[in-house]
Amino acid sequence: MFNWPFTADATLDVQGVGFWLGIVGFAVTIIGFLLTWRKIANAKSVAESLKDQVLGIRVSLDRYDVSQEASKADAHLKYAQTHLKERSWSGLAASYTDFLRSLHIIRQLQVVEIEQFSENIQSTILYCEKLITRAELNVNNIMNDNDASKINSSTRSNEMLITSIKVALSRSIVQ
Amino acid sequence: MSAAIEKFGLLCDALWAKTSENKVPWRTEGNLIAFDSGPNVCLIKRSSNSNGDDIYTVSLLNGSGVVLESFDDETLVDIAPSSNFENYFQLLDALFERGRRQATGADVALDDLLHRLESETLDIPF
Repeated sequence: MFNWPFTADATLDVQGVGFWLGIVGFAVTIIGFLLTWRKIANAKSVAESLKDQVLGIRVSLDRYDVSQEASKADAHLKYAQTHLKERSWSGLAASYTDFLRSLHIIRQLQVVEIEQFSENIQSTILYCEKLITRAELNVNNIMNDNDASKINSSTRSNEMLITSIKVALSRSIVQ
Repeated sequence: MSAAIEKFGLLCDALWAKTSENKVPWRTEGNLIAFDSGPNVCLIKRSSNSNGDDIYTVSLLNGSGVVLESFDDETLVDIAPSSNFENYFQLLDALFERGRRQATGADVALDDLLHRLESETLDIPF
């Protein structure tokens, strides 16, 4: 029963069956490959989705940090205005140093929503550095009214920048 | 104190008084406001001084655009305005803002809106 493929009469039949088995085997190989490829692709998309989720969490944390820092910056500017009323260069230097630190943190977090303000943030950082140097040089002097008015006006502009940053962040959270 | 500086101060006081009465035909472009006074032009420009703070420069130009006179708020630190401002920086800051609002029509638009709100019931969609 099992030796019929090895007889001379069955040669053509064996070749025919072998041919079709070859075709079926090839098809099975292709299907196997496709299944394996699908599994790999799924695993990759799971890994990518995990990576996206981690990135999303990081962006949310950065946004939260910028928001926190913007609130601190606002408070430092309020202190600066109090020191301006007192005409105190030393107080002004201290509050603007804190404000400058907040600005550096906001800039370094590189949140997309506030990219439009990066030039303003940079010029404000330069202004703060100049003002702190000037305040430290005048620490034993009393600030004159004209300087106080001008710095107060610049402080109001800085407040507007911080408010704009806060608005941009809150808009992105609402969307 | 020179007589010229006193005159500069008086000019600023007069500009503030007349602008408060809406009697100066300000126009605006970028960081300056200006109005024509006969053949001359008076303009106020806002820029930054070496410390990075605002500085207001008032200039008088003749019809050919030649600067006849120019001074800034820092020239006026030794004199006080006749109005309630502490110094001329504050006065020019307020004058610039008011002049700009008059030139852009912001004040007129606001007055119009207030008038409408008082006189009729608006259909506000919220």
